[in-house]
Amino acid sequence: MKKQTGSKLVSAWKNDFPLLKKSKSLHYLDAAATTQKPKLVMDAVKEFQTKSNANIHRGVYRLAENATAEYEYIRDMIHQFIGANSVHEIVFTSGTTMAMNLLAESWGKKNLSAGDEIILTAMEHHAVIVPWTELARQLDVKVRIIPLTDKGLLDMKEYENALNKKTKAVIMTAMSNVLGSVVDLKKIGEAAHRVDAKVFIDGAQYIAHRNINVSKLPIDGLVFSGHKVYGNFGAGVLWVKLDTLEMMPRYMGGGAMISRVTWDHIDYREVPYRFEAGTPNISGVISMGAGVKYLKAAWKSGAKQHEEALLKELLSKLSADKDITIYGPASLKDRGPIVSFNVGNIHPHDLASILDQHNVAIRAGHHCTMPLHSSLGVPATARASLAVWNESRDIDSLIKGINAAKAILMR
Amino acid sequence: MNIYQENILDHYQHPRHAGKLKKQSHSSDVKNDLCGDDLQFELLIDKGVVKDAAFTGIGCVISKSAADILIDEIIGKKVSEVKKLTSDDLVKMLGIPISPTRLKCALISLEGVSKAI
Repeated sequence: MKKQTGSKLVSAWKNDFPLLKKSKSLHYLDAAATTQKPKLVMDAVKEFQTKSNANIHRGVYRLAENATAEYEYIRDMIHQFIGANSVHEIVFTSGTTMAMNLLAESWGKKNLSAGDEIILTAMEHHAVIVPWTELARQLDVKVRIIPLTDKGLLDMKEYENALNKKTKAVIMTAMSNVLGSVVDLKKIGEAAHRVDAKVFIDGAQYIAHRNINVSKLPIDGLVFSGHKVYGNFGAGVLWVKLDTLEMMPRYMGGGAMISRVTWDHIDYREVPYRFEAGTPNISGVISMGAGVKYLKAAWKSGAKQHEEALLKELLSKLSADKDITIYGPASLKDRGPIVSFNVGNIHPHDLASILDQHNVAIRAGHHCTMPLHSSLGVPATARASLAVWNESRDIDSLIKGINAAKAILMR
Repeated sequence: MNIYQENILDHYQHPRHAGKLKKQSHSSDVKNDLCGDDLQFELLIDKGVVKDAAFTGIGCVISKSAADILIDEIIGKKVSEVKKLTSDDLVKMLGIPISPTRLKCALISLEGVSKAI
């Protein structure tokens, strides 16, 4: 539901967020770093702690049974949200980074050996680059890095050329946290499966803005974090196709993931429990479930269209300024609402500091993509990203702040 | 209080000590990989005194103005005195309230000068 007064977009969801209600003058344009939390999510955590707080999978008493049921209900809800075939394909982790490390350590170490190849892209986040390139170095596996076109999109020709019978896995982001660039998951997966390579997708940004139906896509794994879909920090999801997940050895060891322990031998549990050692971040998972519930409801009432209309406005206003360089694709269908840019030769840190004085929160730096920034030829960029609470006023304040920075630093 | 005060901007836009020295005895290179600041320092030290100093490189307003202000301060000083300079001293020299994140930008100059001597 977007109301338009003149050409100004207003958010129907802004008042759902206590922090934004409290700080009325704040223009928070950093959803890609973390989302603000709706009251619904805060209430869900409070309710859990008031009515059902207990450890899960262990107790026989009713309180523990309730806690377990609520936790497993979220697992069911998430599997439906992403279109997974089975609830057993959902592993709860502490976030995207842990999920990626789990994949590399568990699947990677078992299935990769010297002479094999893996494919990454030039726009990957350190959470992908660090575990997979270090593993590749350890195992003498070749890493092929797919470049971007000058439009900021993945170069599909180069991707298809890079695939060969030695390729064992393709690991890439579905939506870049810097450029906003989106990849065609169907095309990516089909090409990879033709050479029997697995496809593991970093969905951290994608999941908050676009639908995904993993059982209908030729992909084998997906990771994302709760705090980017309106939940609290510290919880995330690893989805892996069942037959692949079942063959993966354990990651962390401890309680809850074993079926029998003696001094001489350990029997591990079935999936997904094999990958959930120790007491999980139960309230984090509860909040992630509430966040996803909120997002689904927002989508039902037009949030996707609202974000897209705002993105169009943001791109249009930034590109009207000839001193501003926008990185990433220009076309709306090829990108999500994440826009990185530079203003003249103003250092992004200075821009962000001045914007802060105008109550505009943007991100400045390399956004955990140092190799990408290297290839863009800049040490850092400024980044504005959108979510359901954003409005035209936020974009207007961003532009005002940019002009103020230019007045001070581009005399 | 604004960190982009006139004196800070003045040192950033009209630095007194930007460029290379004709003669130098000590030099260093410091990088802040987190944001891309990359500064090079040159010092001319004679009989234990800093006779001249200069800097080049890329950086944000804080890092470059801090470099200029610090060099202003150390020229004519004994090396032993320069070695005693702390981050608190540098913050006082700048005279602006710096947040913990931007503090790294300012301190890169102190690191550069210390590394050179």
